[in-house]
Amino acid sequence: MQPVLIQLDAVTFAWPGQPRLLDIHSFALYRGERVFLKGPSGSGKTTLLGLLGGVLLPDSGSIRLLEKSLPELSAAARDRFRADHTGYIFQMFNLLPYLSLVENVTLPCRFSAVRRERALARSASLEQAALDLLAGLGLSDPQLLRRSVTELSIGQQQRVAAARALIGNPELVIADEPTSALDTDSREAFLRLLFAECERGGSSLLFVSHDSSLEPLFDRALSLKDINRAATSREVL
Amino acid sequence: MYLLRLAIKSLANRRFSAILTVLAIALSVTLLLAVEKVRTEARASFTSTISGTDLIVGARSGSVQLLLYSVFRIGNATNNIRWDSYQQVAEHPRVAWAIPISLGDSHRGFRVMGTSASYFEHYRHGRDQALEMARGAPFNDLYDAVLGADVARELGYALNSELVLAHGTGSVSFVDHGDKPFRVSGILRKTGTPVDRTIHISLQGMEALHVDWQQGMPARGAASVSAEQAREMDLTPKAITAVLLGLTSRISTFAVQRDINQFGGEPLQAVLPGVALQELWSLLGMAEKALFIVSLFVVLTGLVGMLTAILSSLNERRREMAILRSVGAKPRHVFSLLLLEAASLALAGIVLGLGLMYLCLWLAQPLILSRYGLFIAITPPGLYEWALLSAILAASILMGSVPAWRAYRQSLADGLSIRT
Repeated sequence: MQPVLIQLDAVTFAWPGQPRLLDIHSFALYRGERVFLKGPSGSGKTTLLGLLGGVLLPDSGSIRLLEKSLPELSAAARDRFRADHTGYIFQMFNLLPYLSLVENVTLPCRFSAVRRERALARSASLEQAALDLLAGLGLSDPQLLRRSVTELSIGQQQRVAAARALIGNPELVIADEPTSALDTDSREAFLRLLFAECERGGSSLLFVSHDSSLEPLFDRALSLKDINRAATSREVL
Repeated sequence: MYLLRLAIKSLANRRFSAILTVLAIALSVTLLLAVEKVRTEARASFTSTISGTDLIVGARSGSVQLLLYSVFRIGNATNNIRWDSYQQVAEHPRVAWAIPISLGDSHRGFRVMGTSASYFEHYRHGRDQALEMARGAPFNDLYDAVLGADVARELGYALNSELVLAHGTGSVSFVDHGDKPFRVSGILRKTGTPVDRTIHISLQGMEALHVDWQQGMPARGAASVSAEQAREMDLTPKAITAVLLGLTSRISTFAVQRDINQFGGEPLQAVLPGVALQELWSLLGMAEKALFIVSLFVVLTGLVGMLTAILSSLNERRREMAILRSVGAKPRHVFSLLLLEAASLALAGIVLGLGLMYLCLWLAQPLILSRYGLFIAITPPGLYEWALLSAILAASILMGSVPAWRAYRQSLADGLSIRT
């Protein structure tokens, strides 16, 4: 078994003035693992990702990423830790419209020295690292690379976002419904490319979606409902 | 450094509103700098209306009043100086030269001043500039007149034109000196001082005009004296209005001033032109300060426009902030980004405003010189201007911290979730 990357124990969270949203007894994600986390919207997915990113703090319990307890770090240290070790892909419109395609991909290296060094250890320059990743994700047409990111199709935009999440080999890639705006054929193609690049970079993937048709492609699939005791207790009520 | 690039690229992406904002700031900066420039130049020009004169002597009244009528040709003297008093003052051992001035007549709204040849020799304005003749020569004949540049231009007089002077100083006069017309012997070069609006004649000419006058009215019939008859008479003036004095040494200014103020013959006063000019300027300074304050408010308006533009863009940029946060930007990066944005807008506005100001100056310089006689030198911004511009930049950064703070709070609250 691979070492643990994320470990959640007895984590509870509630937004101020609202009933408890999350109550996770135990959740672990291992290095190199590809996990599918299923949950309908409003089930606390985004909140969970906020906790994993260190943007939100749990009311109680421990969240450990790479053996580090996130709640014990200062806000600035959590920000740095996230930048160094986590890549994000969102649902859509992931890119900054005023940056070029390659600039969008290299963005994390501007804020994280760790990821810059890792990218430079593999490639001659950040631009080269970005180009390599984009090529791996099927974006190598030089004409395409010169385009403004707003002129790309959504599928192409998501692949650029994936390259950005992967640059500098973060230990964890979190994808929040990245395929919901894609049609069925491109969903699978996108996932295969994403898997291949995660594997090459040694990144674990936490894939959050409500679309269970993608489940079989993953190492492990679980439902937020199953790990979140707050959800069941609410349903009982 | 990378944040600055991001800020500029983000601005370039919203270039329409960015350009408008920069333009608003630039125009306000141009206005402020132009007002400052005109203010300092006008002040310099004002204080250099008269130079080289050590003392102005007149009948006892206020120093500002004396300055106003003797130098600016505004208002009237309350009293005259007797000719023998003038002679005594002029012969004071420490007096190098004396220019007698006699006022009271006018010609179509322009003041007529009787004086002597020493006026053309010793009168100085600006940075010790002497009067120069554009055409012709100083008066030679009894009925010669030398015109200031504006008089000649506005009334369309050339050399040898004839003019009839009027008694009194109104622009419409019912009593004129039609029997003794004057001839233009010379026209002075433009000075940018009240000299341009003065008609100069000799003291004797002034005396000849009034030689047959009794109780403020011209003599009639047999008692009247013709122009030719007047030439034969003794035309030594009985009184003059004021005297400009140059001293042998500037050190003796206060001693001579005291001597004149304690003059036994009649009550006289001597004032230092520089001191009187300062006194007068402090009266005019109010308008000048008001102008400055108005232009400061215009700059403030420009900066508020910038604030509005940035603030209103914040909501639609929440996604941008969330993306930046997800790639590792800290909330303080978001804060700096917004601050840099405000600073870039203001800096661009200031640079453009500076350029616009010099362009306007370059275009307007000849116009202002010919219309108002005010020479505005095109010089690089001085310490004061730089201080003003830095203050504007500082103010813009201060104002930029408002949207920056909001974006900071927003990105703390939003975290990585994208809300649009």
